Amino acid sequence: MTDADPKLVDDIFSAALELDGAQRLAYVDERCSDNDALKQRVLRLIAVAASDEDSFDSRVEGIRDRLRSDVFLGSAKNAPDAENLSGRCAGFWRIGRRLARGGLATVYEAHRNDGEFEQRVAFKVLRRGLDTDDLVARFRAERQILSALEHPGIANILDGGALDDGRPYLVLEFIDGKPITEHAQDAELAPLARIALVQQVLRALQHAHRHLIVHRDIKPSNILVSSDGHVSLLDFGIAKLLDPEALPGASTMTRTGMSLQTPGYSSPEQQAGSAITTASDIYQAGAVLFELLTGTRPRGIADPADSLQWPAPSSILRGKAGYDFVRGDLDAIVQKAMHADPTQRYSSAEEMDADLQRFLDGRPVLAQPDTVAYRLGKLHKRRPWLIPSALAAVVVTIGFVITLLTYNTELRVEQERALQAQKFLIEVLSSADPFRPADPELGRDITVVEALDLGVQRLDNDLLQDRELKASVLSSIAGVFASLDQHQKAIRLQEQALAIQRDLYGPESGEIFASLKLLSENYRTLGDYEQAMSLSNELLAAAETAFGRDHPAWGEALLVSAEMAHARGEFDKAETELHEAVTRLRTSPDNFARPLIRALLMLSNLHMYEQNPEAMRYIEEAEHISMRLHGPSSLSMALVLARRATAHSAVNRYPEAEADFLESIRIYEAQIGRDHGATMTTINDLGILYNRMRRPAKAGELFAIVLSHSRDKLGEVHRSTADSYQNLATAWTREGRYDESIPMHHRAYEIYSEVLPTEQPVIAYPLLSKAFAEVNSGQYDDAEVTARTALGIVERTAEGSYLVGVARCLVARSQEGQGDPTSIETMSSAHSLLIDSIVSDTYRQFCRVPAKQSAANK
Amino acid sequence: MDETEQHQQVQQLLAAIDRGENGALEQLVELVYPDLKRLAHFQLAGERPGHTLNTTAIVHEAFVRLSGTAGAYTDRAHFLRAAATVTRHVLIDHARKRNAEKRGAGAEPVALNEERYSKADDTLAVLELDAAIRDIGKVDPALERVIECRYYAGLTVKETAEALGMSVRSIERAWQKGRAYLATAMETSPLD
Repeated sequence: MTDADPKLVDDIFSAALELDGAQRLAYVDERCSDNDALKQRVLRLIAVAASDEDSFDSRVEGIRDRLRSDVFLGSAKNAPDAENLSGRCAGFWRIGRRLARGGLATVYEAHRNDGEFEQRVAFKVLRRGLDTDDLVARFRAERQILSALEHPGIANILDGGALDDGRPYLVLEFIDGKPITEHAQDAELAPLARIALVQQVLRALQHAHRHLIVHRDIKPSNILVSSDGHVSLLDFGIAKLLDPEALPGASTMTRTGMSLQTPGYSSPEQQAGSAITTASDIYQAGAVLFELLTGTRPRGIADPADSLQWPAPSSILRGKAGYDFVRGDLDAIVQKAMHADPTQRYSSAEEMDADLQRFLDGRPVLAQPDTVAYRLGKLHKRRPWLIPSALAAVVVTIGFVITLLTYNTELRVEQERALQAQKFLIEVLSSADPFRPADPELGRDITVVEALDLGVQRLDNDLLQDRELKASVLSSIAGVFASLDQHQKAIRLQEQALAIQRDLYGPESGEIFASLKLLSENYRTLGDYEQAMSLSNELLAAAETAFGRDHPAWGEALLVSAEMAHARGEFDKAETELHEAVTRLRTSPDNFARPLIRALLMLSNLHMYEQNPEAMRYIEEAEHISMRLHGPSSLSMALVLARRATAHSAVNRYPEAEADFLESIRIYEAQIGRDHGATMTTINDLGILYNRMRRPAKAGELFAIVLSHSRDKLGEVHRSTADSYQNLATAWTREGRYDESIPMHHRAYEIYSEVLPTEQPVIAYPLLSKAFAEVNSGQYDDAEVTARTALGIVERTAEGSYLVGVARCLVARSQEGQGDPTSIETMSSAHSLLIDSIVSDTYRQFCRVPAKQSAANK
Repeated sequence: MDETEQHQQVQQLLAAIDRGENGALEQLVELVYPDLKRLAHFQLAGERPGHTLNTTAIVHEAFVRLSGTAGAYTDRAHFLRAAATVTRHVLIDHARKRNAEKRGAGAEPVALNEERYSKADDTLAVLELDAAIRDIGKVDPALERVIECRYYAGLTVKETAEALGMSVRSIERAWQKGRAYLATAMETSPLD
C-alpha cells in the first residue's frame, strides 16, 4: 500500500492542494498516469485533507489521549491509591460499592447506619496521600458555603466529617438518574420537552448564582434526570473545590494568555484562563441546550478568540424533519448564551430561562436581534442603569451586574469608574471560590467572608457610583452575611442598599421588599425589637401597595410581622397574622416554600401548649413540603424536626422528642456548623428536653455551651443570653448546685429587666427559680424577698394564673422556713390557683398540691 | 529545589536542547514529568467515568508553571517549540517502554482506570503512527514540526505559528496536509 515513493506522493499531494476541484483531478491523473498505487494514495490524502475538520480521525486523537492519560495517570503499579472502603463505616454511614474514582476523590454508594430511616447517599472521600493540611482545610471550609444552596434542582450536601485517619469526606444526595443527554435520547423526548429540561437547569443555576457560587462545570454528566423528569445538578462547588486552577501557584496560569483546546463544554474564558464569572455557566448551559437540540456537541473551533460565534444549531440540523422550528429564535437563544464575549451573553440564568419561556409561549425572544432587545440594548448603552427596572428584575444577580458594568465600559466618560467597579466585582466573585487568592500579594487563600469584607471596603470607598448597581451589590453581600449568621454586617450593608432603593423607587415599592424583610429579620435576631417592628410595619405597607393583599408576598410580609409579634409575646396578634399568611402562601407553595414552612411551624408552636391536634397537622404539612422540595437532610427539614420534637415534648413523648432533636442538630451541624444560631437554638431546646426528662447534668452541659456562645456572639445584655443563664441555672438548681445557680438566676432577671420593653411574666421566671433554690438551700429570708418581688410582677402581668400560685407558694415556703405561721394561709391561697393548673411535677411536689387533682391532671 | 531555581534550570535546558546538546531533552523530561502527573490527577478530580482527560490543558499548565509567567522567558516561540518536542518525547518513550514490558512479561498490566483501557491496547498503533510521522519528516521536516505542535502538544494554530515562526495561513495549509497523513497512516495500520 505504501509502496508509493513518499517524496513523490508529497510532491503531487502538495501541488494538488493548491488547485481547484476539476483541475486537481486532472493534475493527479497526469502525474500518476501509470502508477495506480501512487494515484490511490494521493487521492486518498486529498479526500481526507479536503474533508471537514470534524471528520479528523477520532482514532488518531483517541490514541494520543489514551496515551496521555496513561503517561500522566500512571499504570496500576504506581497508582497512588488502590484502597477500597466498601464495607467500612463512617459516622452515620455504611459504605457500599465504589461508584467512581477521580483524581482527588473516590465516590462510594452508602447507606445510613443507625436504622433511623433508610437513606441512600453518595459518599465522597479525599484520596489517600492527598490529605495535606491545605486540601483538608479547603474540603471543610467549602462545606458551609455549599450548604447555603438548597434547591430542588441541586443535589444536596447531607453530611460531612472525617475518617479515622483524618481524611475528610462529604455525603451527597444520591441521584438516581441518567445524564441529561442520555435521558433525552432514551426517553425520545420531543424538542420542546428538552428545552424544559434546560429551564430546570437554569433555575438551579440561578439559585446558585444568587449565592455567589459559580458552578463552572456544567455538562451533561453533571446534570442527571430521574425517570420522572426531575433535573438535579451535581458536584456543585466540588468541581470548583477540586479544580486544578484553584490550587496555589496555579494562578500564574491565568495570566499567560494561552488558549487551550478543550472539549466542547468549557467557555472561551475558561480556555483562555481568564476570570470566571456566572457568564461561564450561562455559556455551558447554552452548550448543553445545543447538544440536546442537535445531538452533537458544539465542535471546537481551533481558536475561539478568532471567532465570535458558534454555528447555529439549525445549520447542523439542516434537512432533519421536524426541526424547522429551531431556525430563528432558538438559534438566536443558543448563540446568545454561547457568545464568545461573556458580556454579550444572557446577563443571568433567569433571563435565559425567561427567554426560553418566551420561545415556548410563542412570544418574541430577547435574543433575537432587531427586536425589543435590540432597542433595549441601544438604550442600555446610553443609560445602562435604566434597564433593570424596565425588565422588572426585582432581584438583580451578580451576573446581571457584571453585564451592566461591562456595558458601562463602553461609555468613555465613565470608563475609569467602570473599570474599577468591574475590578471590584471580579474580586467579590472570585471570592465565591474561597481558594482563589483574591489578592495575589496576600500570598494565601482568603475565605469568602474575608473576600466579602474586602469588597465592602471598596464599596465604602465609593468606587461604585451607579447607585442601582451599588444597591444590588450591597444586597447580595448582605444576604450572604445574613446566611453566615453575621447579622450586624448584614444590617449595615442592607441599610445602605435600602436607602438607595428608597430614593430610587419610592417608599412603598416592590424593589424594597426584600431589603425590608432582611433588615427586620436581622434586627429581630439581634434583639432590637423597636427597629425590627418599625421595619416590619413598613414591609406590610410596601407589600400591600406593590403586590396587593391577595399576593403570596403579602403572606410573607405578614409572617415577618407575626414573628415579630411572637417575639414580643403578642401571641394573639401573631396567630391571627399567621392564619392569613398561611392562606396566602399556600396559593404558591413551591415559590414560597420557606416562608410557608416557617409560618406553619410557628402556628403549630402557638397551638402546642393547648395540646391541640392542629399543632401536629401543621407540622405534617410543613414536613411534607420540605421533604418534597428540599429532601430529608435539608435545613428546612432540620427546622421541621426541631418543631416536631417540641410538639412531642409538650405531650411528654420524650424518646420521640429526643430522637427528632438529635437528628435536627445533626443536620444543622453538618450543613451550617455548630456555631450557627440555628444549631445553637436546637441544642438549647434539647437541653430543655433533658431538664424535663430529669437529666439535669446532661441539660447543664448543653446550656453551658449555648451560654458561652451567646455571650460571645450576642453580648451579655441580650434576651438570648438571659435565656441561657436562666436555663443553665435551672439545670444546676435541679442538680442541687444552688451556690452556683442562685447568682445566675439573678443575672438572668437583671438582663430581662433591662432588655424587655414592658414588664411581663417572663421577667419573674428567674426570680421564681431563684426563690426555689434559696428555699431548698435554707436561705429563707432571701427567698422571701425574691419570691415577693416575683409575686408583684406576676400579679401585675398575669393575674389569676398559676404563676401567681407558684409565687405565693414560694412565699409560703420561705415564711414556713422562718417559722412564720401566716405561711399556712399563704399556701392555701396558692393551692386555690394551682389545683386545676398544669404545673410541673417539681413545683407540684414543692408546693404540696393535693395528690388527687395532681393525678387527674397528669 | 525552589521555584526560581527550577525556572532557571528549565531555561538552561531549553537552551541546551536548542543547541542540540545530548541528554538535555531527557533531563527536561525528568524535571517536567512529576509535575505533569500531579496535574493530571488534579485534572481528573470530579470527573466521571467516560470523560476524556483534558491532557492538553495539563501539558500547557505544566510547562507554564515550570517556565514561570509568560513574561519570564525571553523567547516564547522557543519555549513552545521545546514544549512540543518534550511532550512528544514523553509520550513516545512511554509507549516504547510499555510495549517492551508487554513483550517481556507477556501479561497485560492491571488497568487502573478500567473505562480508559476498555478499548484494545493501542501502544503499537502509537509507535506506528510516530514512525509514520518520522517518515513524513524525512520528506518534509517542517511538516513534522507542525504535527508535533498540533498533534502531540495540542497547540492551537496560532501558537503553532508562533512557535515555528510561520504565518497562520501557512500553518493552516500544512496542518491540512498533516491531518491527511495522520488519518491515512491509521488506515494503513495493520491493527485497524
